[in-house]
Amino acid sequence: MARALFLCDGASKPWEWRDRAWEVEGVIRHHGPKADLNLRVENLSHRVLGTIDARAWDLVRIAAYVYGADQSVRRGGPKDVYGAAWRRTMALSIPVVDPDFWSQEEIRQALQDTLDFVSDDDWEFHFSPGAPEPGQLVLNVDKAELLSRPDSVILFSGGADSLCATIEKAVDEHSRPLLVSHRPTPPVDSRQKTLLAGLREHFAMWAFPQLGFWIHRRGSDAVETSQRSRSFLFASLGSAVASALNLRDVILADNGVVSLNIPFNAQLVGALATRSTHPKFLWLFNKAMQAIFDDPPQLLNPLSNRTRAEALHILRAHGVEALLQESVSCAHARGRPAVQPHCGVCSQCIDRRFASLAAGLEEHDLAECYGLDIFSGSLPEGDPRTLAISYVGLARRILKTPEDDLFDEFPQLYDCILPDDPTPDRTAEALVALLQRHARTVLRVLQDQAIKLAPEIAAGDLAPTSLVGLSVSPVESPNGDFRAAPGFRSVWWQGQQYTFGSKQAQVVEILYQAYLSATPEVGQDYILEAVESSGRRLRDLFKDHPAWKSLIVSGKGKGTFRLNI
Amino acid sequence: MGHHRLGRLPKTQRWREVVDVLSASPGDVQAISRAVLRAAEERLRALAHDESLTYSFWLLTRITWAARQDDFAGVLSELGLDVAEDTSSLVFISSVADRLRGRFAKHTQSGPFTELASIALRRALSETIGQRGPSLFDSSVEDLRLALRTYSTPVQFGAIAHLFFGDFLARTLTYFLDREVANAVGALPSKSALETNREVLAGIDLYARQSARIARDFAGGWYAKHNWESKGEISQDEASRFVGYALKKLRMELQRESD
Repeated sequence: MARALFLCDGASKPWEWRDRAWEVEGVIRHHGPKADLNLRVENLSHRVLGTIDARAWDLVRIAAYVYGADQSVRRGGPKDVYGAAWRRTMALSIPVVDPDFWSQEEIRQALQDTLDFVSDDDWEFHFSPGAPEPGQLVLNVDKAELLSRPDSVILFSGGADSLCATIEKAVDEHSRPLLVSHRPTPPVDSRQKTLLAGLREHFAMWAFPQLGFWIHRRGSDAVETSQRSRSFLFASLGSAVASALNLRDVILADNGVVSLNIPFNAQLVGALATRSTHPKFLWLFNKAMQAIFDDPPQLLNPLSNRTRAEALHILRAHGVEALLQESVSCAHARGRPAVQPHCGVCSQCIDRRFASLAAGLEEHDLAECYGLDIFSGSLPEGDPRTLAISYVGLARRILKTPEDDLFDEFPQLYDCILPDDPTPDRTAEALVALLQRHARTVLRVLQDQAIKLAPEIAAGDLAPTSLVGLSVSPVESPNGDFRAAPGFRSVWWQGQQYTFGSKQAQVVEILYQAYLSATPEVGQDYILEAVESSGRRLRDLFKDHPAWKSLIVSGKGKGTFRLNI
Repeated sequence: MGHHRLGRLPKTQRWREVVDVLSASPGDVQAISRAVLRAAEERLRALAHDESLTYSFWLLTRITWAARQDDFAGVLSELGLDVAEDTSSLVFISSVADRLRGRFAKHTQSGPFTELASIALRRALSETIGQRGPSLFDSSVEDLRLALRTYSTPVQFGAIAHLFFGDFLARTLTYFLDREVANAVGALPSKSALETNREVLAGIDLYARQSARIARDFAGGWYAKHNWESKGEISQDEASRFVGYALKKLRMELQRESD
């Protein structure tokens, strides 16, 4: 449990914090030669009307400092089995243009409640007088664009979900969204540009103007990479721009299942599973915006009631399936080769892979673009195997739970019922239906993949620790003494494991089938012909193999063999 | 933006023993539970004094007691829980979670156990309405009150305490085990590794909930005695002492059944 204090851009240490014990004391600067936080806004494509006023810019600054501090204090890491260091106390002293406004209890509490929920941390703020940002406040005015003025803001990340939401907003709803992007790294920037080019090429009715904010650490890598405050930053950027342009809707799109904070693994308690687009986060954020702005923008997630597969159907419906391959969802995309931008084994990649298969978009989301094909490739021990098994395990658990009991099984769902919901019963029914649709989709995709890989399963060529391999039951003898993985490449007998080559496995399978038919002894010639062996003796096929003369033994008849089970 | 943080069990002797039991006897829920209790003994002992856990249980006693009072809404209001006539059970249980979150925002030292305690309270309330009231989705806070009212007798309070401690215990055990089950457990006879993984966790979950049945025996008596002595005003200190006692008994029960 860390207690960290950050003095931002020359802000002083408040007297009320002087006597408290801080494990971490740091500074965050985005001004001057020693700046360690880059904070820059630029019009990326088209100019838009409006000026970000001092209050909105203060909001962006606060969010940027929070984002910087969030990455500067470790949360214990994967070895912290008790989660003792996961939740931190984070105190920030921040210069703002209007400290009296930001110091109001209502404002401060609203910011803290929102950040506490999304990050699991305990945030505290002290505000002191600061200067406005010179030269960075104006979103360039271009009168030529008055007639094509944007009517909403979409937070455009370059992932599949924000891409789908953008298309739906512009094409189906005939809206004119301004795309606001957080640009943490050049590869993300490049990805967003490629997607935008695709959007402009396919949909001529709107120019998809984009505004980018470069906000990232400078000089050193983050010591903490969980970035639970990133969605607060992202939403603040969108709201600041919306406020400047007098726009109402700010779209933060993510599919509903990810948003719900349902733990697919029991260790994912609270914000250990992301809450970046959780309905309560959106509600708390909007409540904060109502306290901050006179005419507040509203943060919305149009995909909140859709599975990821359902969201991807938007691409198909508009004939732009090919754009999917230009989007990247991977949590570990940094440093990956351009031709294989997805690791394949993080929760985002697993979810995307299932969804694209369910949506029939496999040819636009090729397995080759993933570092590992989870369905056929061997899942390494650790996170990859745990994530993949848990992902399917959650789907099974959902479908094995009667729908009336899903709120008992997953009490986290209560957090999705908001205090001012006029129809909580309908919300609850929709949540249950969403989870069930997701679970059915997952199991259908797994089944389809098992069918597709049936030849490999039969041949014993499928990696036993692939997701399909792990989901197929092993063969077992009636007395339980003998077990074989599908394909008979791996066999367990009398507490020992035997591994066989392809032809050897075929022999074992033939002998096992004979055993099941109560005719356990099989002629050597027949076996060799059946497995298309050029040898004349079975023992040559099993030369030096520990199963020879132990598991595989001679029968009573001359030239026959049987399993010793 | 759906990034998740996973971890594994430490490589100390006692946690290695947990992994060994999972690998060798994935179906032996008693042995697995015993190994976890031994490995996490110090932390689990400390939970007996955990403020967020004891407050969650205390809140359960107060909500249950409030259900017997004429002014249900008034008593809840004193607890920081605002309800109106048309408040649904769903919104009420959600507000209980918010109440706990607000109260323990600064209580970061408990890490995930604050949330596990909150989930256990939500589960206890949720199951109560499910077992005694109409459908959870259609129920009002008055339906919840009527359902809770039946749990405010000493015998029935034991049942709701069982739900609370059973859920907390089950989720605490699986919180540790789900770090390694996928890696350590192979396939049980006639089961795929995936299904074995699910069954191991479900088995532990069920075992913990069943073991918590002993809470029925002593929670009801405690509730009757202290409710009578305090005229319905069970204090947080009294609740805290009870949670310490209950956790000790539950640990002993798991050990006893395992031996």
